[in-house]
Amino acid sequence: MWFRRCPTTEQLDDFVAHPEVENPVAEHLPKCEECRAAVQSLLAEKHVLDDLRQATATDLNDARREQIVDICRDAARGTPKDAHA
Amino acid sequence: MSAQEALFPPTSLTMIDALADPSSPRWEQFARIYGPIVFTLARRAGLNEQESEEVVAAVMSGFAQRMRSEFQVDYSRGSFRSYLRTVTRNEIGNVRKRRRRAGAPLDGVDVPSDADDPVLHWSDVERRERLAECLRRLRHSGEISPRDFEAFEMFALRDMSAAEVAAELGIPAKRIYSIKHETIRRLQAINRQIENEFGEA
Ligand SMILES: [Zn+2]
Repeated sequence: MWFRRCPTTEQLDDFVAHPEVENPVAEHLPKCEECRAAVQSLLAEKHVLDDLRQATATDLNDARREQIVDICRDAARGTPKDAHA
Repeated sequence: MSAQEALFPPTSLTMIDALADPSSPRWEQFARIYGPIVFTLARRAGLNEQESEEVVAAVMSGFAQRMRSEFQVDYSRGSFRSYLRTVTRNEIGNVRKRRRRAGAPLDGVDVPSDADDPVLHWSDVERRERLAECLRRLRHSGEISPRDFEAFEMFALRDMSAAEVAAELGIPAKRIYSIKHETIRRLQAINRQIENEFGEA
């Protein structure tokens, strides 16, 4: 399979999201400046997503984060932690 | 120049007064980012959950006292971030020393040695924590529907295919891709807002 015209944005998206999968987009890119530029900006998005995945994959879930914010607030106000217990 | 002014670059002066008041919304924004960073670094340094909480409390308590302080302190060498780093490093070190004296091993399999700087990866952790905060702010902003937010999480963060997400949520597959791009753009905008609030990570 090859692209008679440019790949769709969804195809470019899949190419960037799953570089491990063989994809005809790879053959198209050297011939097309416009798609290369599109892939560049998709790669920048991918970096954001990679960071976001790592940020959300920790053992800090939303509830735990809220507890930590409470600890910060109590500490800043000078409230002993056990005062809430 | 007051201690508070010295801790923050001039562009952040608007938040300085607010940070001296722990009941202000600004303090909460600060705590949502920097609390988890300190906690994460303490955990990575091998401290357990409770010890890591103690480190967070000690760092925040010290920071708040500094912010309220009338004394003039020379922070010309760095920003509030380098102050937080230093205090975090010291507090983690204190717990480790206490542990060693008590003969208790540290948590985790790949615990770094005492020679490793526990705050070495501060910038990476901060970049990620800011994004986690962006995600939280976006979710509560009303700028995105709960369904679109879920679609974003499933497709962009949990690696489900567009077809799977489309089938599960009843959204056209093509739309899933645009939800992803729109959401990332919004997150980046919120991230720039956080940069305005707290400077670059
Ligand atoms: Zn093309």
